[in-house]
Amino acid sequence: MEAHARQGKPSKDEPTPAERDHGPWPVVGHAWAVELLRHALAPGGPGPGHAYLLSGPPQIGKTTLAQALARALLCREGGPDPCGRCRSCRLMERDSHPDFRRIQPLDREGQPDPVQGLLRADQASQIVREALLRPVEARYKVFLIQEMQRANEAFANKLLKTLEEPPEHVVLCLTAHHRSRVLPTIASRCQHLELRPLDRATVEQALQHRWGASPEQARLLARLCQGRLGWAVERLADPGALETRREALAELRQLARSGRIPRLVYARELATRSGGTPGLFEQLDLWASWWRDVMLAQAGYPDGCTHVDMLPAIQEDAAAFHAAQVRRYLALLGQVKDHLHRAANVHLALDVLLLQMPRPVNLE
Amino acid sequence: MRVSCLQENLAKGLSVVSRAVAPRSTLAVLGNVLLEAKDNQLRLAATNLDIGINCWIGAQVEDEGATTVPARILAEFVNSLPSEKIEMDLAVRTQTLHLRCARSQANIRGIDAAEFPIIPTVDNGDGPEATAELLEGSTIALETDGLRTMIDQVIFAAATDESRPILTGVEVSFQGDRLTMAATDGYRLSVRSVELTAPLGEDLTVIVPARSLGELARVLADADTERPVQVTVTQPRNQILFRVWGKPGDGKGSFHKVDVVSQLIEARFPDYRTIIPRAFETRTVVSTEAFLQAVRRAYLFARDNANIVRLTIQPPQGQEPGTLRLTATSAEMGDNINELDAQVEGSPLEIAFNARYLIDVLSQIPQPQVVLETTQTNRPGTLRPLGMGNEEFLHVIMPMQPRG
Repeated sequence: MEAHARQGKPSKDEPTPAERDHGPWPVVGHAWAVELLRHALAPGGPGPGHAYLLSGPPQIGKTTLAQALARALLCREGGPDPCGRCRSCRLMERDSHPDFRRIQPLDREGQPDPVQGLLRADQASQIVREALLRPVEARYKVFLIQEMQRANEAFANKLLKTLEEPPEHVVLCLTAHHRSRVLPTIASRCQHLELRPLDRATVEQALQHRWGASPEQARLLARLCQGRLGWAVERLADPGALETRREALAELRQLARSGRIPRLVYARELATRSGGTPGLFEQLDLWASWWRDVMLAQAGYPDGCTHVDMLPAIQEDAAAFHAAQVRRYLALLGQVKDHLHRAANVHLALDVLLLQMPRPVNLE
Repeated sequence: MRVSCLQENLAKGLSVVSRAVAPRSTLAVLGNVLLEAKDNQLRLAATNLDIGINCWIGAQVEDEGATTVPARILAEFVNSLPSEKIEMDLAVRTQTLHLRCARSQANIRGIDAAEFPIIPTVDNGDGPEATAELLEGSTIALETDGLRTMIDQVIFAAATDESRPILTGVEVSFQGDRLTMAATDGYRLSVRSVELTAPLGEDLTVIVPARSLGELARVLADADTERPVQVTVTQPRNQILFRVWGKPGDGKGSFHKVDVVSQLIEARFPDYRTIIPRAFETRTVVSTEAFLQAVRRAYLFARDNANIVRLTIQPPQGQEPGTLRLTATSAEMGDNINELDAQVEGSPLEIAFNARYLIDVLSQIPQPQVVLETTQTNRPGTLRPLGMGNEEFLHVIMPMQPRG
């Protein structure tokens, strides 16, 4: 699922109307970064840097940008923009160019796992060796190393020399959630491009025009995705995901209306189900987004809401809960998340979180 | 595509290219072998992006075309067939290859040939293949047997561990009318040089992965020794191509020709000339065979002890002829002493070498006698066949420093 969204962004079936939604490169948004790279590649320009570090939240478009850079470098037309028609561009479309190497974190069985997997030492040795060999078809050889924050120390150290002085034909692209999560020795050897979340309008338009979303879907997803187009596209391909969100929110509203015992039972269940995994944080983020909507409605600004498809329910909750309680709870959610990142006791943290959840005014 | 060929030829061709197949690569198409029917030949091709092999076999082509199918299933299926005619048919829309031989049939699902990396070839008079790129570059012809011997005498000295990737390559250099190959793993160095019948025109030095040369040597074993190997280095100097011709006549399982194409390593090869000893104190000439046998015996005891074999070189004393004595000891197993007659000039010396390294080099020397030149216990020694100069054959081995 995740892999689909990562790879599938330049969709195969409709490259034509797409032209108007992105510039000369098949990338939505991030125009400044595209311009910077195009400038380097343009005739008379300084040429590509030997290594780039693209940082930004998950599914914001780092891989898409890196792939676009690879396309431009490998394209047989040789301009700063990929032509989209030559053999190289077609091979890139199918992710099967012999001079483009994608390196992902692997789990113990050697299967790609971007979240829990690691970039391992033997992968680095492979890169070092392959970098020395001249490209097969193109003028360059591009290595895309994803999720650099998952690199173990041996991987990073083995890569250092190649990263510092790669052969002339090699361009390395590293992606990471944040520069600070990459070893300074690595980051300092790369040109750093920090990608920022896309604005709502851009995401909404791209979803409608490039991925054929309905206006309602596009409007909702653009609000939910927090500027991460990849996340929105992934949800679009999987209608069940939005349904799951509705169910989770219904569950939350139910919990807010129940007493201590059901809340504690739920906390226990949640802790065992997802002991500290990313799924738990996703759920807490969803809760925060709901209470934020409730707070916005209470403040008389329902237009700013994220969950636009559930406005009546938001209004209902806005009336049912104390504004001060909601505000305090939002702050608490942030604190607890922070503690959980620092390995707090999951059971205790969730107990606190559920007991402190606002209660409807008429129950008190 | 509609083509037929003999089972034994297809089996042979697949065995030639299968060494370049990369079954576990991230690019699925690299686990496939390319089949291209054209000009009454069937081209088989495989690549792992380090090395690519094109192999042409005789075939009757009714419809030209190309596809790629998984190499392993195709090779295993073809090997299991009786030696009769195999007919192949490609359903283009589904990329399914239908094979028929005697009373067996199979459908193998493939991947579009357009996804297969381009393996270059040289112009052979009938134009380039559709999925092969024509090379322009410097070409030279080399005698087949000589090239194979040269490769065998050099590549074993290349490093096999990837921690120093440059040393996994062999420096191949064309300088004036000489071709020189050199490989080293930091503990030993092998250099072999021959005179070319015609110079290349321009001086050229490239680093070829030793593994690729090993594959070439393997293909050369099946080659027609009457026809020279054509060597081409591409213009942008990213690839080297060896064109090998098959044995004449349509014998049992044969190919027309094979291209072995290797990517080149982009790096500076260490300047090995500085470690070549300029002079020697002791010169020992012994029978190659006897020396090799003695080292093999010593190795039985040395392999438990870091492969250390001690050589005691004794010049002639009065009536006594010179001797070379090899000893090896194993703390658990015991010890072993071998003595050989040798023509020794110079001062006596004790020196220790890695037995494995001695075996590697001695087994590549066909000449009856070898010369061992040494200076001191802690200085490198050189080995070469008697009658060949350092400029032709040079092997330098670092000595070992046994404790105590």
